Amino acid sequence: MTLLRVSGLRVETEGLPVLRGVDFEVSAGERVGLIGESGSGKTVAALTLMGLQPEGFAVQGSVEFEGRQLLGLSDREFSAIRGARMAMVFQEPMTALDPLMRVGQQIIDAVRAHRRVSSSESRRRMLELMARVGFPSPEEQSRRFPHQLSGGQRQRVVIAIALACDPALILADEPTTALDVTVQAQVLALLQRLVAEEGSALLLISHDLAVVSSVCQRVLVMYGGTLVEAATTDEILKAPRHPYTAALLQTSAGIGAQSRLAAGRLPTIPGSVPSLGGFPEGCVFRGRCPREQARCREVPPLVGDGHRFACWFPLEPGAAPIAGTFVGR
Amino acid sequence: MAGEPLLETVAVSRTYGSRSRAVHALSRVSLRLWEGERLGVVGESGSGKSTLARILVALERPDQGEVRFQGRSVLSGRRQDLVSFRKGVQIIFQDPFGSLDPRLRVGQSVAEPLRALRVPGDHGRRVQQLLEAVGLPTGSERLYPHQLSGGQRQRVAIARALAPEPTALIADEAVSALDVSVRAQVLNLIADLVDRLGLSLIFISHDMAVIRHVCTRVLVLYRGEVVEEGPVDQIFEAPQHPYTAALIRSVPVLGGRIQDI
Repeated sequence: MTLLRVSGLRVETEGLPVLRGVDFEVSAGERVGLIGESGSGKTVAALTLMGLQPEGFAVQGSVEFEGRQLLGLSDREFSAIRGARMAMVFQEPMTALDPLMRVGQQIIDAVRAHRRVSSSESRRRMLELMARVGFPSPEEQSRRFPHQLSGGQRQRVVIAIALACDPALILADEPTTALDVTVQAQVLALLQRLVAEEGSALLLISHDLAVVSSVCQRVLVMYGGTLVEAATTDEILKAPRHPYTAALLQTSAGIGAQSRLAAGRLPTIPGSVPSLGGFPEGCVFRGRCPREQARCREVPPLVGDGHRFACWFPLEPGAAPIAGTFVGR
Repeated sequence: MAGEPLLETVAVSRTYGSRSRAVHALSRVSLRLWEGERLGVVGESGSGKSTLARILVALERPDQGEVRFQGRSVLSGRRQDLVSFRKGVQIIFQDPFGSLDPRLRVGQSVAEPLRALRVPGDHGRRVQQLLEAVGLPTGSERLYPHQLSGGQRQRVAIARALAPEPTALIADEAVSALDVSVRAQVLNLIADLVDRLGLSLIFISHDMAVIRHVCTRVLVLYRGEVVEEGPVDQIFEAPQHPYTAALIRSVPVLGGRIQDI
């Protein structure tokens, strides 16, 4: 069952395209990863889905959530959906939490924001949520202020707030990027377990292909405000069709796969991500792409059934340039 | 190994705050960097790795312990020792936006250590050579930091670090803020320069995967103490300390599974 259907989503600011017509769907209970480097438009996509795009950003297209068109809703209508059916977890938990309020109270407020419950019931639910996100002594820890918690604990509080109303979709934008590696693993494991238990869908936005591919069943690859490839995680890893995806995989797989002496130089993508307004006409990856030809001056459509990609000269299916190097430990 | 280390710390400790709320950032950390070696220091937040970086380049003094460069104490206060140390040991930080003066053109930033350390010779020409060596296009010297991408700014920081012809380079989370596609470029650049110029390198990072790629030996820092030390491949294959094992297990792998630790 389709939970979220995004079609032809275009976002512009000062006449410059930030999103150039993005189409994808998320099914109920599905874990989807949206991957992109800085300047790919992935964060603007997330904010737009939540109705939180910055002022001066013009939005066109369609975002249907649980069969309801979200674009064009008033702030008030949107906020009734946000937090209740759709929840979000951001990179920096400190900005999502009120620094002057005890964390337990913030979870209680989230529980009561969308539902009428007694204060004893909301308190009981808060303690239960804190326990579920891994606080060993919720009673005592609920009285702490955000600054008295570690970064990982703060992100656990944000996740508890996100879960407060049994959301159908959790949108997590770089939820572990600011955390230590060992804490990242714990928070990702928690997020993965909780969405499975709740039956919520997860849209995980990240620059880190290793993180996304470890958590999600399907991956969307964005570059320059365009969805360049969308497929199951397995297909993306084993048989990428878009040259950008393949290059991203190669460079991600190169680091640490072997020691430097054995591996030699890391594979790289030439050049750097252009700034907004600096992307070429036609295919956005033009200029950095090893397979570029004259036809790439025309915008390639996103084609394919199931495994979709936007490229005139895609890699052959199964011709993974570095097959065999994705062996997990 | 014979001879003396190029750069070493001997049981350095650093405590912040007063007695009642003292934080032991580093406790008796000893580190030896041998000539031509690429040494990794891995640690998470609170490990003391940033304090160690600052002590290694004498931006900060330890409360106890000794720091020696080519056998001479850099804490002695002898001006001559300090000048040769400043020329000999250079650092690249995580965020070149923070370490480059936004009001200076790229050329001025790179020339700055040459001027400050009174390095003789044609500074203008040296700047050109350095910018070329780090792969920046001609004309970059006239630009300001905000006109560059993150990767280009880090190249400028590397050019500036190399300006006084150091023998040792300290990289403190030097690629952590870069996009994945650019990170590989900058890692290759650092590896090339280290090889070509015969530099010794201390690469400080939270990222075990990057350390493994760059370094031959690694030192694991946890809460201000060295908990494990050894050849990087050996530590990856058979970590002895439980913290090292957890750190390695936590590195996300393409198509791997998240392990709850």
